[in-house]
Amino acid sequence: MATVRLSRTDAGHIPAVTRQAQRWKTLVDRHLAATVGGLFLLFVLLCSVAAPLFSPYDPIQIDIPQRLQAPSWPHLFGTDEFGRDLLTRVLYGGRPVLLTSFLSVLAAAVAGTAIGTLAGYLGGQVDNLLMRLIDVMLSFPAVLLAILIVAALGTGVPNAIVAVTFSLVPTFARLARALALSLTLEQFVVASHAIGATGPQIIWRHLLPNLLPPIIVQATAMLAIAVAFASALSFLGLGVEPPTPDWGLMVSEGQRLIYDALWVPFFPGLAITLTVLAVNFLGDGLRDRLDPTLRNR
Amino acid sequence: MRYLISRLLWLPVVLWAVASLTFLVLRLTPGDPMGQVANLIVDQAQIDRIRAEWGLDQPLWQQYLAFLGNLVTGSMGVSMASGMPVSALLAQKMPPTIELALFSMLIATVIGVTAGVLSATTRRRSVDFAARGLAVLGLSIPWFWIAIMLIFIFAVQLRWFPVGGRIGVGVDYTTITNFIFLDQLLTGNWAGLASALHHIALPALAIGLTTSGFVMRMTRSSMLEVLHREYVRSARSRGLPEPRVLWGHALRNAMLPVITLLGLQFGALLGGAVITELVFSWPGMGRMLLDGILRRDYAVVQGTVIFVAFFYVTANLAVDIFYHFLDPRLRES
Amino acid sequence: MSTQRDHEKYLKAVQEALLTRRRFLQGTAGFAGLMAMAQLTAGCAAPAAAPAAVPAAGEAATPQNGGRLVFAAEAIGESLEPGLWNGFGIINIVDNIAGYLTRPNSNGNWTDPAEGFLAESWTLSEDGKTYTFSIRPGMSFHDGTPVDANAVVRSLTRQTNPDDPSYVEGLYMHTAFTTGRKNITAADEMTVVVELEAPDATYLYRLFHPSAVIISTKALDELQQGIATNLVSAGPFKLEKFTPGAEAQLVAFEQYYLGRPHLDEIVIRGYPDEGAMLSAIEAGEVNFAPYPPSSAIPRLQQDASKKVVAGEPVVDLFLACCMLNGPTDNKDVRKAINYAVNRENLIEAVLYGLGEEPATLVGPTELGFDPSGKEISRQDLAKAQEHIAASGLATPIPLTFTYESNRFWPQMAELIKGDLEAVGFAVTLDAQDAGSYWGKIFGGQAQLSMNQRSLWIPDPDDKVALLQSGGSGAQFETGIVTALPEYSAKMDELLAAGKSEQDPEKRVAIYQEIQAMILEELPYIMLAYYTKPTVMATNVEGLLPGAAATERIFLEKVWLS
Repeated sequence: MATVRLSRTDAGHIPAVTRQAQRWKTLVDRHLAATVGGLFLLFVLLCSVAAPLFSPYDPIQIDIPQRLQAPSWPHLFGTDEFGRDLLTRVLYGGRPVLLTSFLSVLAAAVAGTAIGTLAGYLGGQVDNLLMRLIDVMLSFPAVLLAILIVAALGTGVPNAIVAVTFSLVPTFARLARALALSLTLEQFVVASHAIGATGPQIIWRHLLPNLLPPIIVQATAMLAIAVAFASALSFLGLGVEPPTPDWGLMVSEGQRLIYDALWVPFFPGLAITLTVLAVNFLGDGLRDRLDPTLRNR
Repeated sequence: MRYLISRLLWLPVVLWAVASLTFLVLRLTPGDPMGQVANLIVDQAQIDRIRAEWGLDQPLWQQYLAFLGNLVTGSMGVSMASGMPVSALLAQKMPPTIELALFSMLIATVIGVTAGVLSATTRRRSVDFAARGLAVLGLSIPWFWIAIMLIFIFAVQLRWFPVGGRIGVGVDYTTITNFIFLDQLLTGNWAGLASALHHIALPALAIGLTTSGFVMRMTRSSMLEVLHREYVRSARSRGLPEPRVLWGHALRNAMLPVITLLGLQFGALLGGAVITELVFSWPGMGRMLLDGILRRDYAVVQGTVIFVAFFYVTANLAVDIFYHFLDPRLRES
Repeated sequence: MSTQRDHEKYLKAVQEALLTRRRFLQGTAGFAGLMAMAQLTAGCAAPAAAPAAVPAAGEAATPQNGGRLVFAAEAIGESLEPGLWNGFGIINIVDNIAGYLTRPNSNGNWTDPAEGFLAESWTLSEDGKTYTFSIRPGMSFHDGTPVDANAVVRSLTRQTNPDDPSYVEGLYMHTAFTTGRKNITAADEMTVVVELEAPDATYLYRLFHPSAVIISTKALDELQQGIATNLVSAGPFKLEKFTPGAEAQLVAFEQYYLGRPHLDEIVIRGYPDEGAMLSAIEAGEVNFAPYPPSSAIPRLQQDASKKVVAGEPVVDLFLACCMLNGPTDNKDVRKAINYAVNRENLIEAVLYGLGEEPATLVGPTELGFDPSGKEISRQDLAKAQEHIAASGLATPIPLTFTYESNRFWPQMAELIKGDLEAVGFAVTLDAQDAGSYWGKIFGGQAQLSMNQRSLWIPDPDDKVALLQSGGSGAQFETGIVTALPEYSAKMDELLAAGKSEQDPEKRVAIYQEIQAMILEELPYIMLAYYTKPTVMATNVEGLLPGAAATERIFLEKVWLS
């Protein structure tokens, strides 16, 4: 809703004839991709949450005689090595990935923003210390940090969340710090200081509200990375355990079947790609809407 | 200046923290290098001897001190799996990884910058739309998926490129630096060079396509911003030809954040291209690190992580300093 | 397509040259070991005949020299040091460079008596404890230096001698040739004397274990630890270029004592990723692949440009029950697990038919194989239910099942979980990376785990040694040393007796007793004998069956037509 209002105000002083076209164009340019992305993401979420409603098959029950059937009407995506309906498994297979990526982005955004804001606002030695901490986290190659964490804690969704969160925190922290740092130099913050506002007040009233839009934009961008990352972890066998369906794991297990049954690795890979694509489109839309530096280009 | 010195002083501290953290996490991880031995039939006396020789029988703090001591004297230890010094292993594994990173950056830059500039400057919405769409698509396909598909299509079905490895079977070549391109150039081995190029194409493309998506977006937004700046407008008003304004003035300034992005991406690629290295049988550092973790080869993991961290921290530092001097407001704080 | 048939044709020629005993042996599995043993002792007691330089397949096409074999190995390790376990890829390289004191029988039949390699002949003392080896005169290492007794003694002692300049700290090895050895000396320039603690029927086999490579003295002195990347031995191929972790290039050794091998060159390339290896096979980039994914075999068999050779079922796939923890410390639980698992299904669905239903650890091609074990190692749901009831545990019985998250293990685990839950277990799958898996086993923390054992040397002792009390199998994987001390002590006695017994008939009896004991307590529950397939281009000829069956892939007789 808000987006529509924005384009209307923008279009206020444009002659009425072109206004309609302009509005439509703006909508397509800025919001079509985001809308499609958002809808698709909703669709994926719905599919994985309500998978049992969409499919008559069991995602785990083994049926060897039915194995490696090519796509057909009863099995739109074909069947896998153990004779399970692949479409069903793709529907269910989004659960661990989506759960892992949403929760870890949320956790990382909260933790990263907290660290970054504190560092940026307080400055000095606290800033230095926190940022060097972030440096330490950043200097671990992300995938390997995750592998190390999973090796230490074991496989499974909760541990995958920890692993992905760890690798996302630095990005949020750095962004929040940079924003907080420049905000503290802004007139209104300096003024609040001058009239005696306390630190927590300033952070709460001035910094966080201004930090939030770019953080949300960043979170959407990171969500795409998190989905790819979570599936990479399960591709490496470090996510959920079989027989739980999981996109990354399905690609990795299906990889050696690519010449025998292309559909087995293809569809789960397509599912990951489309999901990340949808998140990216949504993220772009949000950025155009929320990021002040891009709004009036 | 004071800022610079303080950051430089922090560098060893960060590395120490990375090293200690790696040490700690590895020791807390279940399993130890003896797992390798347990796989074979060995008797307890042998296991005790090996533990003692590796110092694994000592208390953790002594192991830690020994590790730090070694590190200070520049020794990264010996791989427990292969008995090879970690420094020798790094000398073997670093060049393939750096080469792959460089070539994929090259691909990403060529594709990303071209598409970014085109999409920022074009008056045709469709071009912009297509370029942005492709960029998003590029950065949405997971690395492992694109690698598998590239091999399936271009290496097996079409047979345009080899499936994996750094250089063709039966190609004569001399190893000097382990940088296979440099070696071929040094020895004037053009057949070897061609074969190496042929081999690096697909893996570099697999990483490069994804990265090009990021580069394209950064270039585009940075270009859009620069195009509104005073000096671009004045260049235009002085009547300079549009291409010169774009490629000369605007792009040169717009490239700064892009270069930063590339720098950081390069750092990340050094340790991060595990899956690509695995799928393309590329004998690089990422795979060594993964194997090291899986085998609990402590020295290899520690040495490699510290090495990668050093690159990364240095790159970060460079970027920070760069920004620091760019934005005078930050310099005062 | 042309699978095993080519080999059988080739074998037939060899057999006719040597005797027709093989076919007879195949028909009477129970007798097979016995007969083989008779030959083994004959080989031990008398100086071994010079290896019959097999005129490869008289009636088949004459082998041609030349050509390059591109060998898709699993991951290639970083070091060729034979004292280290660096994965199968390294073993594949080492086996083709190496000169060992003995070698597998040149008829290619893996379980036949060992023959001389660097040792031309040997005698065994009356008490069965002292071997005197005569080194084959006129042989040279790849660096041109002569093979002599000193090189042999040095090579076979340096791995446990910290004073040797080539010694690597923390070196561990698969100790195949040092265990039970009292002394090894060079009696003169061309004679090596080995004294054993006790008679050892497996000793001649253990001398061609991959860790027992004889290395040039000059190389050991000059390169020292550098032999890890430049192994100089006296085998059919010499190392031309080794890129650690990636590939090795071997070339024919012109001065090889049996004449240069047929192939000009072997390139052994590492493919740590199964999918990547398969792609290389599909794209025709390799013409020899001994570790292809099973799932691709049915299709590759239809491929006119390739042939698939199935080896013999020598790889044991099994479950290990750790008795240090519940519920696997309960014998009825172990029996219930045993009777619950549907092996046919595993072999069909996961191994794509490349396996046989199992008896117990000793496989069908090994001495003393007892097929009656198949009656126990099979699915019998009624018995499984009975044992569940007899266990006294409330159902569903919680059970953690630990395995490595690579290769076909996850699929195996999935199927087994289904089988176990059908009879009253509640199974938690516990997939681990390689390091954690062994950490867990080694810590004695697992309940049910899953693993494999291939045959390094062709003797039943090689597999059942898992149960020896000094080893990690008995101590941690199954925990029988702690949980069943009397059983373990008796097992030790039998294992020692089996090794030192010279009379083949008695040996068979001992190994059958060992098998009965395993089936009684079920520390190991067999899943299948896995038949490792090898995929190769149709023009690759002359691969010995032993090489196809195991990870010991000797290529000196291979040629390209």
